Amino acid sequence: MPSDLSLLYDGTFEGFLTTVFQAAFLKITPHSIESSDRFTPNLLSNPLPISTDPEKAERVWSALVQRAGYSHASMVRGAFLSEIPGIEMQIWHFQRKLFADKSGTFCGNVLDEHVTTVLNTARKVQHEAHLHQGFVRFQVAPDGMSYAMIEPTYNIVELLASHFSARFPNMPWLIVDGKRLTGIHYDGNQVQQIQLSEKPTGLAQSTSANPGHTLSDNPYQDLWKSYYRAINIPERKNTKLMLRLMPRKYWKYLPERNA
Amino acid sequence: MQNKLNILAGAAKYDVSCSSSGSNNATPQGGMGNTAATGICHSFTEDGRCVSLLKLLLTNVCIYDCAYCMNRRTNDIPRATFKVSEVVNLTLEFYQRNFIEGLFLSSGIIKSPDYTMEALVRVARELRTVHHFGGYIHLKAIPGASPELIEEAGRYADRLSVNIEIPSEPALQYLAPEKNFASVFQPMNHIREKMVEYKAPATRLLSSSPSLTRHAKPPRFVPAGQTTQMIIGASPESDFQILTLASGLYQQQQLKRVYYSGYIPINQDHRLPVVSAPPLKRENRLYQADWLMRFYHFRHDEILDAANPFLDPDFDPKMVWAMRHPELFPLDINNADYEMILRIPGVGVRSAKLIIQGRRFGRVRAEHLKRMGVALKRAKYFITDPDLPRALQRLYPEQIRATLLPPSRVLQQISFLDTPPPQLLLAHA
Repeated sequence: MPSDLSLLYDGTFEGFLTTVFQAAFLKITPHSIESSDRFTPNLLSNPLPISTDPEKAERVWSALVQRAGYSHASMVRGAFLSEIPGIEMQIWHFQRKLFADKSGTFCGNVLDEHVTTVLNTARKVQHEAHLHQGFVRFQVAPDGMSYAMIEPTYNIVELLASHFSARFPNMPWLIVDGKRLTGIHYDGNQVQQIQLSEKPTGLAQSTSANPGHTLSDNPYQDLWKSYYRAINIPERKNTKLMLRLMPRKYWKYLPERNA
Repeated sequence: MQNKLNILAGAAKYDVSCSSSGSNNATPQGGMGNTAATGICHSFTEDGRCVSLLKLLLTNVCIYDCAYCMNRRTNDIPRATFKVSEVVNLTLEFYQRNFIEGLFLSSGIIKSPDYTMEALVRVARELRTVHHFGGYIHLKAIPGASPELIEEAGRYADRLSVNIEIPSEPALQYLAPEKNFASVFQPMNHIREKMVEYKAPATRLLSSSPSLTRHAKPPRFVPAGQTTQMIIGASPESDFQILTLASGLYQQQQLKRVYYSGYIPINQDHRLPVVSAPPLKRENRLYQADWLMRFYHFRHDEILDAANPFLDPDFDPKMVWAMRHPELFPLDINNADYEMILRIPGVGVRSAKLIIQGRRFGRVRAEHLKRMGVALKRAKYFITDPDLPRALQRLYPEQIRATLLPPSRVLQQISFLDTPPPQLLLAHA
């Protein structure tokens, strides 16, 4: 039943899945599903906060994996990480149709607008995660720990965990999303998601925040910058192409571009 | 170090290949580094090229004197040589900071081909066996080096390449008197044979005794295959000649990629053409034609022929092909087979697959095509769809041409016909 309720969740994927569970329980089509910190009330809104319940979230997730298969369930998660306003209701409609479908082929229906919205959004998120497999720049601290800071458009930091733990299994590292103050930390054994209370100062961001700051890791950054300059072919200059492939928004933490 | 790096990276930059794709290694025990099948770009230079590998020459000292090469022995330029340990160290330090996917090592020819190849192999061997480095390694196979050295290189490298550089034998001998086609094709064919050899026993074992192969990992040999590069515009070959050569290389030598590098005048030499800017448009069209051969199942002689030996600078080769074949269009995407859908301008491999998939659920219409990523701007002239104006598909190719070109270019095209394009002039020279 359509309702004027705006369901508010805590911004986490678990919180969102709990909200999907509650909407199904109440048998309503909410007016919107929004993260409470992004919700702006107006005269007509009728907000209902939903408190996150890991158990309910888990039930929705396993039902999703069972019906859609793991790869499509991951795409739902990917689309959610886009944080694009309104994506929650798109996913909600996708899941509503998925659970109503008797044929078991719904996810393959690329003529359905909710399937293509989820797929196309997940692709954009995957693409940004793929870019960051290349754009992450580690700085090695004297204690052997490697730090990197990124500010991606979408909330992709957790999607980098398996790539970097597989590539550097013997090196402890930390990748921080400087915008969301979240991060992933690998201790040489396993990856953990972390929350930061404030933006870290020091090694991880000193290149851009304090350009004059002397770093212990400068020699290799300097060599990298020279290398970057040396391999450019001025006769082929094509700044437009470079900007399309490596937009300015990512330059802040790229030593070869931020000077 | 900084100075050496500037010289030897600057000397390597005209080799356009920087791809780190085609290989899927896991990280070795106790080491670091793996490879991703799709390849990963770590940065982009101002010329818009991807930076994926640390691309270096071991030395820019060279005994050869090829007219087109900046490192030829008669050029008066600063020369430098890396120690093996310097390249190994730089690769590891850069890799650890996620600056690169791996190493692409080439070299000027010092003393002899074997001496040079041995030095390249030493770097790869040390990275793989001493440091257990699992990242991407691309090595040059030096023409004239012994088969044993090339085979050892292939066991460490993900990719090997031998550059043809000049796309016809007479022109190559004219510009590079110390080289000929045989010296290029010999290592290429050798690598090809070794690739077949290394793959064969694994499949034989697999069919006879699956329990044995589960633990025995077959030895690897250039898992990402071999590539080559041709310089475009330093010699008078037509695009048709170039594509014919490329097509042969894909079929006979089973190359993974052929790279086309628009000629940049580095040296003053009477044997070379005078050009004001590298032929980037031509290079781009050749890549598009190359794509059509590799992913869209076009034969090279469908794209060009003796009567049409050059690619059209105004339109991509797929569009040109479609305009030359009005008898095949417009197409009903709800009935056409995959191979034909793949040939519609504006439809990519991914969207062609989505169209086939979508047909199981209903009629595919223009609104769906947009969300599948089809460029309707080009496709609309070649497909029937109730949502598209019928008149579009009744246009003659000349009318489509005029519609898609900006007005200024239409006028230019008319005046263009009076003088032959520069490449033609060259071809007759």
